[in-house]
Amino acid sequence: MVEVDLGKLTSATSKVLAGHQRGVAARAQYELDRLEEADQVIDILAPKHLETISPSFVQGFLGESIRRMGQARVRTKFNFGSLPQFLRDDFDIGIKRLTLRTNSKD
Amino acid sequence: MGFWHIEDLEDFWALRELDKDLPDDQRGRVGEARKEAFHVRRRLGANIPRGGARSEKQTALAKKRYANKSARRVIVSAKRGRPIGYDGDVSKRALVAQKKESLLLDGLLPNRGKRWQPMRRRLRSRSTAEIDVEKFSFLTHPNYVVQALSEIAEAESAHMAARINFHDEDCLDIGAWLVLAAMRSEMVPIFTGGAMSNVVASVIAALQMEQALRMRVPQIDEETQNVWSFPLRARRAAGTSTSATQFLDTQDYEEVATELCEAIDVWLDACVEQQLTLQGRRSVMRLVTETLDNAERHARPDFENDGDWLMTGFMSTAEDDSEVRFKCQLALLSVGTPISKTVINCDDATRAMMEQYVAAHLQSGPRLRHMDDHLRTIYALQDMVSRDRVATEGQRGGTGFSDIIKMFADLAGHDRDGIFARMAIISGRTCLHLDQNLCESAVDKCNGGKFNIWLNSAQSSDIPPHESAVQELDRDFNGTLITMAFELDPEYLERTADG
Repeated sequence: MVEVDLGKLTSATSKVLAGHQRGVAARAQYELDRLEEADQVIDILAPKHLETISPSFVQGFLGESIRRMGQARVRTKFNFGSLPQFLRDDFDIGIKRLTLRTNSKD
Repeated sequence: MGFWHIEDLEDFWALRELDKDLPDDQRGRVGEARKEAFHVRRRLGANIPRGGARSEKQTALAKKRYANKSARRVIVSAKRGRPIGYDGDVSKRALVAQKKESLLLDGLLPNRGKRWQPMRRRLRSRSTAEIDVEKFSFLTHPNYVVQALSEIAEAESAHMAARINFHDEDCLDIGAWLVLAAMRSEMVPIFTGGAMSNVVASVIAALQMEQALRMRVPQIDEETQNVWSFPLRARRAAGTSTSATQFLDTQDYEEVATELCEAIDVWLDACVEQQLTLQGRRSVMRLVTETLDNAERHARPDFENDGDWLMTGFMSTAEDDSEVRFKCQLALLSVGTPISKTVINCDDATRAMMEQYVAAHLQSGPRLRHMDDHLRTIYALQDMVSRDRVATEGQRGGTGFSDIIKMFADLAGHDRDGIFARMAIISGRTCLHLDQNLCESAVDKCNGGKFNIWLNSAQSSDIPPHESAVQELDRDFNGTLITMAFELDPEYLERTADG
């Protein structure tokens, strides 16, 4: 299992992780493209002081993954189980937003 | 009613005796001139410069002579029927000031480039202006605000000195003040003062907006004013980011959002010994970050992802039926290209659907000359509509506004009738009024799926937006302002935390 610790992106003075471009930059920083190709689950970690992750960040962070792998594979490839429930909800909302476009075309 | 930029007048009124024999029409003018002269004397005589060849005593005497001469000139001018305030009350900074480029002022004053007169030309005409401002609220009277801001922009372009009198007793919309603050830094300092209510002055002081507004407001005992503030925050100028890790560093808007939550906790704690629930804090932080992220990304196409913004807010309390009510105002401003102009850069498929929507309802507002812009702005609020083609191609983005509207509906939720809870989106020629119940019905209708808000009771794109939800501005507003007023109901937030 590979760990991606979102704590590296936040400071103690900030309780929120937000921004579309920030999500895209974080994806590059953690080399998600490379990690996704490996046969390992990616464990997402967050610092205790983090209270919310905005949908825009999730969209920038996981947008490319959803486009390439689809929602079902992303949910098995990434493990959000180490996060508190409210941050898992945030990832859920972000992923739903990403799939809305695909679903709306159906 | 107090005066901004003017300090206490002390025993000035005793001088009225001096003018008792003057004709009625002259007495008022000379009285005003004496007030101006009083301040000229005070200002010019206040600071004694040190150093130089002369002794300190000589310097002080010369300074006093100069102050008296300047003050006397103001009174004599008034007695001879000349306008007052053109030299005695204009700072040296104003006399040497140059025109500054300003997107906001250019929009409010058409042909500003041609109409703006250099200060040396104004010295010849010595014209002054007095501007009266009332109903200063985009939330209820957007064109009153635009009219006032246009008059201010016009005065800045042509007069030697001007005064602004704000007649509203309460601060009706902090968003209007935020726009004025953004404008003031780009104006020559010709404004010399004016009138303002104590309540408004206390809000301006509490929000630490005096410097941005270039106003010195009367000192008011803060304890007597029920204002809890979130002082003005501003991001550095657009296009000035130099960090190689710009998006990996903690963002200003993340810190601002966190600080706003802390401020609201302080407000609530002070009033009812409560704090925001985790859900409440998450709503506030997402509302702020999504709005400001939108501003940075889209407001300045010339500085991609590096736009600037200003933000402020406050809460005031009012007692009603032995209940404490928490009235909040929050405003977020980004200066730049209006939404209706940026959204047309969306992908071809979205553009085609948008133009179809515009064509279907273009005739629904026959009195509105910019109905196409209003409809495009409404279209931009819908899910999956983004000017960012890269994001669209990657099947991401285009949901920023839905998050903002959802968070507003959540935060402003309440059980009581007759509560004023409205968000206004002002951009270009468009002012959209989104009442909380309209936002809530749109959230309910989307039911976790694609979010749409068409500003009509059926929430349908087949029906034109409701007339009252779309206001056309008389002048261009080059930027986007999101301003809101609502009442915070801690019990409602707690009860609906899991909803």
